[in-house]
Amino acid sequence: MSTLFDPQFLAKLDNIHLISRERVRGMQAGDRRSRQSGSSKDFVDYRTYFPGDDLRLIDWHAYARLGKWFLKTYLDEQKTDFYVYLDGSQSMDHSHLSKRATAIRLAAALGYIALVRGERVNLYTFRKQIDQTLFSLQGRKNISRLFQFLEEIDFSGEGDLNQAFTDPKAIPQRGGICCVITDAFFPSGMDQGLSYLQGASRQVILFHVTAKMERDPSYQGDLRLIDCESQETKEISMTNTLRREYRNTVQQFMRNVEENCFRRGLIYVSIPVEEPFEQILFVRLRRSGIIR
Amino acid sequence: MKGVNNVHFLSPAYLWLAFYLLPTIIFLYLMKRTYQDMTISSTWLWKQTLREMEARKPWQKFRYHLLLMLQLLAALFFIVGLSQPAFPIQGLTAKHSILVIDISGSMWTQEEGKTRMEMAKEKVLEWIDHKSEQQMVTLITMGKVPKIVASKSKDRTGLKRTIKQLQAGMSAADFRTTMSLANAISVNDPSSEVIVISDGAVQTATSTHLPHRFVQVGKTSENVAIGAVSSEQEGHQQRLFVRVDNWGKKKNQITVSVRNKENRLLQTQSMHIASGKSEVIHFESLPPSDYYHIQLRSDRDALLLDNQQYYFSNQKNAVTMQWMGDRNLFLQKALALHPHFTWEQSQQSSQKLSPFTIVNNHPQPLPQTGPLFVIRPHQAQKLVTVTGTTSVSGTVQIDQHHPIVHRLPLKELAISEVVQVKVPTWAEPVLKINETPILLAGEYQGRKVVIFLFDLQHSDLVLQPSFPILVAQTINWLYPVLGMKESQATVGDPIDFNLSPHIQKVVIVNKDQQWIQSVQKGMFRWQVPEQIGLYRIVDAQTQEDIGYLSVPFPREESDVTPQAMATSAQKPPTATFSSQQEWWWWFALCTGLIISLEWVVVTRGD
Repeated sequence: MSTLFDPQFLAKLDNIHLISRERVRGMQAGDRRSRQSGSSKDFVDYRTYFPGDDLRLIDWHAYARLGKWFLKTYLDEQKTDFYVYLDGSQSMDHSHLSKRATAIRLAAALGYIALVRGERVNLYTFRKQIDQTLFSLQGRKNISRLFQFLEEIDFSGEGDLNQAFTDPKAIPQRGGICCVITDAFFPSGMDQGLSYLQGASRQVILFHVTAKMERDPSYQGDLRLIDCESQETKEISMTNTLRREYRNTVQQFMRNVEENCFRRGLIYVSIPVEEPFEQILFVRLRRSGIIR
Repeated sequence: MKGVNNVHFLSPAYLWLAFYLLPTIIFLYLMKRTYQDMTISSTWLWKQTLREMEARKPWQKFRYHLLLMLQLLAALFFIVGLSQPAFPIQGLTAKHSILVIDISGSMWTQEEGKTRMEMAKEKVLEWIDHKSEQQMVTLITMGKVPKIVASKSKDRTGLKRTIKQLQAGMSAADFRTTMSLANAISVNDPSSEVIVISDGAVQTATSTHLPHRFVQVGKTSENVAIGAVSSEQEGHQQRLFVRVDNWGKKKNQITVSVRNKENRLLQTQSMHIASGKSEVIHFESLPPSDYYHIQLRSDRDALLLDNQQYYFSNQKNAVTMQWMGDRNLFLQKALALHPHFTWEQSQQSSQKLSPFTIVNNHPQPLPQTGPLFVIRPHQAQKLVTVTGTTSVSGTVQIDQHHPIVHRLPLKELAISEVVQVKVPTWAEPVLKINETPILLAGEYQGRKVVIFLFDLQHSDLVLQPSFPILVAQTINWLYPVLGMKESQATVGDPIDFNLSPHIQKVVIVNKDQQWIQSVQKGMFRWQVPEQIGLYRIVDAQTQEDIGYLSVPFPREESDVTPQAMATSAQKPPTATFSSQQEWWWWFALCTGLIISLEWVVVTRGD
């Protein structure tokens, strides 16, 4: 079916649910909890009867005790839109850092879970603007399409999240869950872009993909570092002090991204690519409250 | 800053190397710094890191070029080292330097953990190190006797070895003789310079020759010393007087203790002595001892050698001499002045062995052994051939070389009856009036004989003040004893011992060493070595103590106050050589250190 996952792994994904921290608004019934009362098994409240209400919802036990008609209300589970924004810049596919593979597998796994649960899945890749899209996938039948789309993504060019998300095409038309998968190497930052996204969706999750070589580089000597996207260069003499300082800068950068997300109410998940993918998915994501 | 201003380069041509080497290093460095290209996902964070580092530590920029800086510095030090930077120092400037090194007792003075002798040696060694190959050095030690230990030597190694072997002595320096010697060497060599290295604590006033240059060692003047010791008999006990001198410039607290022969502490006294003052300490009622060991202790004392002395009682067993013939009151009175002799009257030669016999106008046969003091000899005694008698008066002719009449204040004499004799070959006339001998002295058949050729009662000699002196000197010549005069000696003094004739060999022992001496007819001469302290004279056969000899530290050397020494008004020879301290090895060391540091930087990457 796909080179991304083997069937056993996919079987594991079948049992996983995506959790929404906010009640979603949808148009079709589904597995996702809605703000509206509905027909799920989850009891919400009582309300008085109005003519036209479904008689099946009247609590006859309450009527027996009180002589009044009360209706039990339940959560309405509706289908929601699931948006995946994948950073398609060159830095995500640099050398052998595995960021590309991890990012694709993560997007694939999230998309698979959403499709299995009947959600509507939308995929975007972005650089300085929205690059490739795949809209409104629904149902298991679209899984192969999803995987194929991901496998064919071309990671190249410079990325700029702020600029990309100013594109109206990037903003979700229907509020849903937005997952942004990126290495966050955007000199102009991400605040503006993420705020656009947050304004148009119910929930934003930032998956910050990093490689160990980026966090703690092991190279030595006099180096001319070339930015794989912008081709800008920086000459350094790699010393222990410089290495230590760089490590501190990276840690500070990751901390800043996480704190910004926390302040905005975004979910931040750090994805170190050297970690086994199963651990990322089943431990990190579960611990972050994204899946159950 | 004077020294720095005078820094010059012995090989300045090497400085030109800097114009080639330093640009080359910079060029090679620039060439060498070929960066290895490495494509990374983003340089954004790297730029941020470097920006922050430079903002936080502005010198970080320089750290990128640390290796270049170190290489340039190493090259600079290397070039400067090659060019042999040097600055002139006070050293040997003449072609021939005559170095007079003071080795007197005061050079034992300790300052800053070193003796003045060590300081002087260091100074001279430094000069020798910096002298040129053409310069010659003559080394003279200034002690009791000046010694030339190296003469016109160019051999640096040999000179240094000689200097290292020099030791300070225990005697006073004879500045006058030493300078005469140095001057005698210098006067024939116009290119020579006389340099005295001393603490200046020497007597220079009597010298007519002065050095061209004087180099002083030492600063302190703090010293206390035992100046003198004397005693007084009080019954069976002794009273000891110890004079302590404070030569220093500060008040000093001292403690003096007296021990006996068995090293048992007898008495101790403490007191303060003002600067430049002396105090006499009395030790009463000391039990009898063969000798007393007096020790001085003080907190502020740079010279310790003068802090002890050995003292013996003046009480000696008196020698009993035999008196034959008439009594003479004047002679008896003169003999009584001599503390070591008593006499007993005898009309004929006694069988008892007497060390010494006085024969006063006595025609009987003379004793067979021992020195003879004969007054008015007779023909029958067969000592001299009597030819008649005469009377003489007038100026006395004195043989000043003979110890009996040496410096005798005798001008004129009148004798009514002088025995005329034919002067024997063994005797010499030491006193004459109008060519008539009146006093003969010599050694006859192995014994000393003094003959007064007149009866004392027939002359006015006994009325003259020189008579007791003549008697004392006569007795001392006839029978010198190990008495008061010899109980103390100074280093280098020759000591004449007159012992019992049956002693064949003696051993002289001090705390470190012993000397074996053969004794001929009870007499021998021994020169005191360069060691102070107590010497014990022991009969080698019986192992009995014969006597003691104390050799104290010379008193004049206790004044350790350094003094400037006058130098000769004559100009020293024109300086043809200049001594200089080279710094190249400092630069070589720094170059090595910088290269090591560079290696650390390269390997550690910091």
